[in-house]
Amino acid sequence: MGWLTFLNPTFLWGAVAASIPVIIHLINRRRARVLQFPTVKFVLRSERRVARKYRVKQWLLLALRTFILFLLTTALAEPVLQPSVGELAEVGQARAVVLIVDNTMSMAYQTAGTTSWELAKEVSELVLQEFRPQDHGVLLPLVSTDAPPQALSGDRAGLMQQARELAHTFQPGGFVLPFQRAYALLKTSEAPKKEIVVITDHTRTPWVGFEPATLKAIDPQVRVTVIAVGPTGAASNATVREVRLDQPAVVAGVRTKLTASIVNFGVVDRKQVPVRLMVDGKTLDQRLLDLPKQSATDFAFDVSFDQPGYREGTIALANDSLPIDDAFYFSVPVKKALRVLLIDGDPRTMLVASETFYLMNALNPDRAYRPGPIEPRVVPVEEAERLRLGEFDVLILANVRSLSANLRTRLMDFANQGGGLWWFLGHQVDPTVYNRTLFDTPARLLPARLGPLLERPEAHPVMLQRPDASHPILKPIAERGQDALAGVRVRRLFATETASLPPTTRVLLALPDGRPLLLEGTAGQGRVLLFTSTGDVDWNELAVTTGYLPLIQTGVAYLARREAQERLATDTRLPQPIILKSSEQQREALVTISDPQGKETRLFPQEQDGRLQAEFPEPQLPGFYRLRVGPEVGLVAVNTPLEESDVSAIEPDDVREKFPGSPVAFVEWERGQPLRPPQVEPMSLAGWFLIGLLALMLVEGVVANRLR
Amino acid sequence: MADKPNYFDPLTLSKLSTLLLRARYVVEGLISGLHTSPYKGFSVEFSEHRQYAPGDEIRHIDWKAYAKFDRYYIKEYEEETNLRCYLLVDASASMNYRSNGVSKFDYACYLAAALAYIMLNQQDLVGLVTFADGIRRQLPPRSSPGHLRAVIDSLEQTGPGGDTDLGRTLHHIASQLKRRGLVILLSDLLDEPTAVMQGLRHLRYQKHEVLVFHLLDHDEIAFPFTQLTQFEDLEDETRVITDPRAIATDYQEQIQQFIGDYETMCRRQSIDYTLFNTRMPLDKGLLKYLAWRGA
Repeated sequence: MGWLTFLNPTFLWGAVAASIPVIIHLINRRRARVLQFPTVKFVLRSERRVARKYRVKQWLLLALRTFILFLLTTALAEPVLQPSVGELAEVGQARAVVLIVDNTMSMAYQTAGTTSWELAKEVSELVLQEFRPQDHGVLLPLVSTDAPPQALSGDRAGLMQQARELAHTFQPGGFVLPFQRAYALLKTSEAPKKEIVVITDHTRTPWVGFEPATLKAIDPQVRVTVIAVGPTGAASNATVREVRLDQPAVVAGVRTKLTASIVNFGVVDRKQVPVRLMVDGKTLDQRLLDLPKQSATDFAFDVSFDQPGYREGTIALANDSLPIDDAFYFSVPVKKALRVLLIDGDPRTMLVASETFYLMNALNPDRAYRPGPIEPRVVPVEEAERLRLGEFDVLILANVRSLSANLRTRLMDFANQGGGLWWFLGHQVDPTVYNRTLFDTPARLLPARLGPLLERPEAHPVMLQRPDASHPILKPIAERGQDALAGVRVRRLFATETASLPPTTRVLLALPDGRPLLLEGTAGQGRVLLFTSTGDVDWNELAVTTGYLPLIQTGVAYLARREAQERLATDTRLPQPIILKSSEQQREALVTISDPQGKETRLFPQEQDGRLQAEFPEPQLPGFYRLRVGPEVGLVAVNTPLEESDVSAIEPDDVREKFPGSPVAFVEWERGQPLRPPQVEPMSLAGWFLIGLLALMLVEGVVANRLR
Repeated sequence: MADKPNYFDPLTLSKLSTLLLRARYVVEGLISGLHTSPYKGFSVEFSEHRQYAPGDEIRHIDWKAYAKFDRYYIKEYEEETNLRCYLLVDASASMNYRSNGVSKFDYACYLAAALAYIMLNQQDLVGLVTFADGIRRQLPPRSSPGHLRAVIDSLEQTGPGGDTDLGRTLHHIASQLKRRGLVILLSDLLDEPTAVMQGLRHLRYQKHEVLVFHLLDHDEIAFPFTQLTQFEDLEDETRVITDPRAIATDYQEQIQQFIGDYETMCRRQSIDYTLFNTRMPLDKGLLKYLAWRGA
């Protein structure tokens, strides 16, 4: 059955007029006058004989008049009979319907206080309500952790229950897999009419990657109906794409530059949007930012983390129509200090004569008064053999003659764990030994092969060129003055074979003749710097220039073990799993993860690519997850999927193109509207109502005349 | 110049202060309209001569005519005897209905008073009985001039009320009236017709001449109501709510049948039956009486 709608429903208020005859009747009945009369016995006899029949006619007349008024008002309201979904699907023929419901994050978009998800649930119930006993169907949510259904069901009540219980998720999702399943399920059905009904929003995201060529399963006999809910073209949404820290390692009390990249996916510029930076729930900074439409904008915050340990950071935007992605979570492991081990290859009893004297002072110039953010420790090579290198972030090796195989192995392990190495050369360095033990081995610890020692007469030193300020190490120097390093005189240095530099090696500082003074390379997961001269003033004057201290400090910070390598797990976005790194020593440790709601799950580490790691495969909520591996604790932030924040709309024609040869209907549904565009024109009933009205008036006239 | 009031109109009469005045106006208006004297022949009067035939009493021979014509003529006289009239006025509750200011009982009183006025002026004897379920007041027939006052007082002091038991009352009256005379019944006859007719037949059996003045209100005959009405009987607890338009036709048929039945039954008993609508002028009733008197 179709349903009756009215083009001018305001006139329906006139239907109240239909009650007028009844009201008049009731009033008249209440107002019956009392009359003392002599011939009541005749009245009584007539009443018994005649009035009963008359009363029936009166009621008939009353009903006729009431119905006449009702018909008149409803005819004025212009009634139209809308075809139903059942009629559209050709009444009588069994249908097999797969209902794909988009429950991805973008369905949380709000319009006039209602989310697209709420509308989608309403629509899914409407679709299922039209199911007839001969129809079969199945419900496929876009995101589901349940096993996909294997067959169509005729249990409409069960399907409706499933639809009611269907939950919205924070996950992204695409239509490829559901459609493949839908076509496969419909292939098993013998129903003459097959249809896939998709309930989604207008966003383009779930259609990304949906191409007929890749899908291959498209059956042109299957009708596709896409019912889109929510905003159509002018959707607006902004979110934080990423948060970057300028320093690889964050040290407590040291101001760190934090850059948030904010994307406005909307089609209009947004002005003066409040953006807050919060750490551990406290607001540290707040800005009003302009977000140009459909572009990303970077905003930097200077932030100082007071306490070491894992800190919960949040960038919160003012709520928009999709508030679910307006908060971006990030975790920050804050170190108490950077630990630097200086291995002095030429220690002296007079500190000033030691190779590491200037380096030590550059790393912690205030060490006599208070501990700084960098904690340097100087040891001779022999002592370094006994130390646990993993406790340090950076190793500086100054004028070391040679390294034992054991120490080299431990250095490589250190580098593989992300630790940084900085080589300073000197008179004890034998290039042949260095090349053989540190460069020409699989475990390469030098960024370049060393050449012969180059010496310049004292009177004719080489003047350092103006450095390239684009590198993070050199940027602070450049900011302090472009000439801070220019003019530094270098008397001796080791040549490096620039022709055979490894691809990961980069020259940061060079002499006018192009010979490198400072090179950067990699070793394992760590970074390596090679200064081809001494760290003190024996071969050059760098240590007594104003650029020395910032160069050494920024160099150490640059080399420091990156927080990502130190973390138990890195921040991620849904639906990516959280992967916990675990060491061999922690093989037997209890590994747990707690989601933002405090629900704890135990994980079991397994060998993966030679490493021990545990996977939490299905984070469901954005927020902070607390990790525990034995005594070690960690924190990881999980954010909403970025692609779901993109609410740009897909055009109906683009959807139709994805189903070549198939009948496709694209319905932009709003509350109170029919589910689909009427394929059968709605039938106007106003004329029939007027004919009925005239007929009733005729009958009324006859009945009324007979009553007289 | 204002028209002279029509004193035959019951409504006009009702505005007059006393019933005596009303009776006088009615009768005198009627008499002046007739242009003949109703007093003619009230006494023993000569009527005609006829030739003597054997068997005639000799004392009736007109000797003067014998002297003049030498033939025996008998002098015949029209012998007038005084009429003894009984006015039976129904005073049951049903007579109290009025649709235009004059109830059936009022109408009956006007008629009775006017008739009494005429009769007493003719030296006839007039008696009065008012009754409902039994006799309420009764005045024996008298012809004294002061008797009119007594009749009118009696009518004025009688108010309608009580049930009708007309048949039994007529029987009772018939058994009381020892000497035959004229019985004029003024009633709406709303009782079982068979019983009523038996009562009237009893009167006829007693050799009384009977005139039935059947008084009905206009509403009772025409049933002109249009509004939903709860009808309550004046004499008992019967009540009915109905739409009068629905039953008007049937009712009218019934009332006509009721009237027709009385008319037929009265004719069979040689009873003069006249229907009075209380909106009719009163002269109709009086003329009816005078016509009878003349006959």
